[in-house]
Amino acid sequence: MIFKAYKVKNDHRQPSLINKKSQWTVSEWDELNLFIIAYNEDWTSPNKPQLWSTNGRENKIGECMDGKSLTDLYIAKYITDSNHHEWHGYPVSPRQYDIPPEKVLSLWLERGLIDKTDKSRIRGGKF
Amino acid sequence: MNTSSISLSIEGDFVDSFIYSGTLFIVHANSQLSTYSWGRILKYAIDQIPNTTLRRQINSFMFDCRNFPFDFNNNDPISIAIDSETLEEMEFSTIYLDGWPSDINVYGNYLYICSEDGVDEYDFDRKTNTITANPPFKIWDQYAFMIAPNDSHRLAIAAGEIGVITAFPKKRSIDYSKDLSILIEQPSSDCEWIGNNLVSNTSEGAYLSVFPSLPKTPQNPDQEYWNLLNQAKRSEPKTHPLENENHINLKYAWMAGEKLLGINRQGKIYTHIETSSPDSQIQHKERYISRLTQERFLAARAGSFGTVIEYENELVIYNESGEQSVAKRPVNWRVFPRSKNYINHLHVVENDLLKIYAFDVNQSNHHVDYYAIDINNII
Repeated sequence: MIFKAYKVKNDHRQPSLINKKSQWTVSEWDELNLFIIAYNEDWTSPNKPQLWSTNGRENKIGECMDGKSLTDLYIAKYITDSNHHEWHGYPVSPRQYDIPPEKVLSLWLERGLIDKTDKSRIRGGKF
Repeated sequence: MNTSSISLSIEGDFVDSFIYSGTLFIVHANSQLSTYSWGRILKYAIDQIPNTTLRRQINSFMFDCRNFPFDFNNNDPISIAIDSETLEEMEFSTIYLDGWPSDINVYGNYLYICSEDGVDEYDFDRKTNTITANPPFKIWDQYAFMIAPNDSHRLAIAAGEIGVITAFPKKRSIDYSKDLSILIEQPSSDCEWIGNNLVSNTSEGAYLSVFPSLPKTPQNPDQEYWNLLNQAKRSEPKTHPLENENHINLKYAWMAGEKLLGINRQGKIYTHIETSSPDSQIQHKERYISRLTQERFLAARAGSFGTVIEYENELVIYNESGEQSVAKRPVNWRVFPRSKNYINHLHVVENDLLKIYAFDVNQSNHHVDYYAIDINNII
């Protein structure tokens, strides 16, 4: 995977867009730091230019609307335009079917970033 | 409320479990799925009880809940246990999965594994309690959250953003253009198919699909029967969103035998008795549970002892007598709403053990709890 640039996207930092886009609640530096950790740790999707990151269940990183309720988010997903190698990311909800691959979840479990219940719920779209 | 039960704790690092036709299936945290003879496990565990008569009664009751000479009122709560080394000695067959499954199910001598790679079907031999060595058959090749098998090899799969699909494979073959179709196009991670009723829980609320009854299998099935069966299997169900009396969509629903239960966004559980008509409305029994609005609701299912609701931080049983906490943040849990033998069982996977509860089945005075399955009318 090639990395040339990271772009902080405004649409995930505009609370007025919460009904359409998930919103970061951590700083831009934290957003970038989560990306760098994911990149260095190889928290990637198999055969897809995607990275996943987390600070664990105790550390909220974003928010989104789940129906009419505001939901806290703990997982970040990073994607790239394969032509430009420019990455950007946003917080995601497994309840909305953004689910890190098994390989990444196993690494997070080993690291103690998530526990068995978290992993089971993430896989089932209940986290 | 404290519904009487016998509990069996099995020590180990597990992520899921299932019981079917005398076989216990356990998924270990290392993604190994093993089968065990339920009879052997029970025999070993129950040998710890000194009273011979009680031992025999418990064994019989935990093997088939319809055998209940066992009197909960005259006995102290009973907890038995097995350690991980003993369990290992009782292993019958093992397969190694590529990762944790998102769901498992066993029905009609097939074991189904749902995962990020889709749905795999394994042959299961109930006489030997083993998963056969044949490589699995791939029924679906995209993320599968949950599977709901039904008679005559009919399957419903909650396939996330794709929605709920139905699949009718024939022995290790499936024609994707004919045997597989999207039933509900709303994203879904949860479905349950009991009798003719398929409940799909989607991001837009709960849906009920009522399928036509399948023809009864004659003693000597002829071509006419197979034609009728295939025609019935391919008949479109009648699907409609589940609504309360004010035509507001229910957020989530599940079956309790013939009863349909659902919750709305204001914390009410509805129980509806008749589900055979697609035009029927939910109108019978209401109960307000404030917790449903205060804490994140994850899932619900019913057994003969009541309805189990999983919240973010607790697993709770509800019935007409009240509520009972069973576990804090379990790794997984499961009931067996179509099983005559195990309708009273609740499996709870905790961090370092699997706890199997067998609840009292004394449904007295012919009154069946609104939130429970009638043991005399299992579909």
